[in-house]
Amino acid sequence: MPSILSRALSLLTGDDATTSFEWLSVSNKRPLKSLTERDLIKLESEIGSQLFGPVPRGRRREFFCLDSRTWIWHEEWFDYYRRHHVETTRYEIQDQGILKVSEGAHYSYLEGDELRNLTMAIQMYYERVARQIYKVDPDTGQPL
Amino acid sequence: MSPQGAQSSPDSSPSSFETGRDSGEIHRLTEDVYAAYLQAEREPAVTRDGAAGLGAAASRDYDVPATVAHDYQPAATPTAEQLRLGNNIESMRQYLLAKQVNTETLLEQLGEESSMSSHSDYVDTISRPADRGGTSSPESGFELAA
Repeated sequence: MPSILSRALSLLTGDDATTSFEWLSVSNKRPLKSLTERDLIKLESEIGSQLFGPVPRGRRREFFCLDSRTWIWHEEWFDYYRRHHVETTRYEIQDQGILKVSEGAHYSYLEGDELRNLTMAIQMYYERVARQIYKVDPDTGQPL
Repeated sequence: MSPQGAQSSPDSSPSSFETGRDSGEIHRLTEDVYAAYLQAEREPAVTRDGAAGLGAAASRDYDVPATVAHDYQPAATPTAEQLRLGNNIESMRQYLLAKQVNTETLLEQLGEESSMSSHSDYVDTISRPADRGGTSSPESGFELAA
């Protein structure tokens, strides 16, 4: 069964011998094909990593929202002796506060400057990610 | 010996503490308490009411046991707002993924249809009235084969 489009085009052009529909076929190499949730988080993290100022040379930083209750800070770098350091911190949003979970089973609730900084970072992250990735007004939730 | 004694004279040296204990023990206690007092001074947010307060001050970067975590009551943390933002981000993410799936499906359907439509496909299935002995005119147009 030919497509309605092909029929309509042949009727319009009146030339059914040379009509080619190659240009209509959709390439499977589309750059935006099938973004996964992980891809989206990576895109978000690129924004998140810039929220705390420029990343020093030789360092890799990630900051992203893993899910509605979890935020991740990850940083890797080499020291003077070329030793590799990795630091991952998880922030859990709980009803009684934000629990910071560091490596080595260190737990503490955020207070003071660290709490203020994280709060500000979350707000900035939300606003920038909404505008730049999801094209949504962060205040109204309406498409930009 | 109590932390309050140390608090009343911040400039006191360990030797100024008075107790009825022997000098060796006094020395050790004063060292410990004075160190704890100094630590507590650097951390004014922590209450220094007794040994428990000093203990908390000394272990500021504490590992929170389950019981402590349960009892913890911060003054005012805007966690509800942060949770709302987290939910919004999650929603935007899921919305985009769902929308993308729909778009992909539509594009794939269109791609399949357009790739199916070669010239021979529709020539075979379209016949003109003239081919069947009729006349072809703009009015009669084409008839689709069954």
